[in-house]
Amino acid sequence: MNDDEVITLVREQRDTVHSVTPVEQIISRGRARRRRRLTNITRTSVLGVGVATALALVVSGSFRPAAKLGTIRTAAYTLHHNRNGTDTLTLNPVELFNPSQLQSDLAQYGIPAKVTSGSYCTSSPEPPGFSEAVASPGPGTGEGGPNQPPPEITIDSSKIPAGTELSVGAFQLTSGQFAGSKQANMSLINTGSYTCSSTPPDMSEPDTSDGDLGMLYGGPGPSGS
Amino acid sequence: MRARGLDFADFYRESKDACLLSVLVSVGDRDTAQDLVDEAFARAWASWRSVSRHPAPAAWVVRTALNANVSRWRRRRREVSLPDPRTVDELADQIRAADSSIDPRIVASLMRLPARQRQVITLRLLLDLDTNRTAEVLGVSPSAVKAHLARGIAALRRDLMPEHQQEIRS
Repeated sequence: MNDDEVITLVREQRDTVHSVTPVEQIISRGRARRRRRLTNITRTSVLGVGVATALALVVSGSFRPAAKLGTIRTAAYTLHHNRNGTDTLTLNPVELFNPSQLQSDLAQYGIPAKVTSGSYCTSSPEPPGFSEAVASPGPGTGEGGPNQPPPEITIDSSKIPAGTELSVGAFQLTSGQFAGSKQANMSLINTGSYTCSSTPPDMSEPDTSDGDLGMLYGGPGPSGS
Repeated sequence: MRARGLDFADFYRESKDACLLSVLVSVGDRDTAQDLVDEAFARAWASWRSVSRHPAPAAWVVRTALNANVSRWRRRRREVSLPDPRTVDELADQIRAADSSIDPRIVASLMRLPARQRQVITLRLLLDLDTNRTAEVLGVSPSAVKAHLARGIAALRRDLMPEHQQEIRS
């Protein structure tokens, strides 16, 4: 046995050990750690500076530990982490989001997602759990018209079932009833088992399914309306 | 390994197995290694802005995991110790039970190496750092890295070579 064979044998062991922890679980653990760290910093500050000073800071509005948990603002969307553990995604009607940037930002918040532009990926059958993981109470989503307020979607990453991820597809519509509008669709897909289509899902019919979400926004309004 | 502009999820996917193995051959217990590596990656995520600029983020994770192991022992008011050489084979067999395709002889041989040689082998062969980067991470000279690597590989070769081949060579 020579040195090269030893090196090869050692390197081959890398393929035999597999970490089984999903990245979402790591991020969730990291987020909890960051929260604890912020809490400790806050406690230290309060103890060191004194209650009166801390109250003064709160009153003056310069002391907002919750804000440090993070809000990502881009030209196309805002992603905000809520105190109850959910995250809220607000789409800017004026600008279509960059799919890789949004996917990366969602991952930073522990939300597994496949974000595409000009296409939309779905699994058949759709995995269950979408309505528990995603809520969109505001106007401008679902069957709403394009001139309504920005779509706001609340995502609970803890409710996304293992082995699935959120599919987000965006389209800039150039023809048809909603030409000039933007369209975004969301559903759950099985990780590694889905198909993608460059045809936007039909938004002209009211959608009664609770397994996905369709949004029209940022356009001039349906032609002829 | 890429560092700047590295996406955490990509980094995790690319390096988690090598980091786990690197920690495993130092602590000798699969569950402990997994927990330490998970915690180290979580810390990396929480400080990703600075960790992603580290010359070798995977080495940062391994070092953080092993430091956490040391802290864990200190908290329990016990001595920090490496696995007892007499029980290394037993530990390697336990590891094999959890990861059926791993070669327990190699794990045992790595665990028997002196700490510095094992660190160099880990960084150079498992995490694929070059000599200069390894030297930078360990705070030693590149020539020291080369020397530890050569000694470590020689020790592994002696340990892994069947006895009859050693007799023939000698």
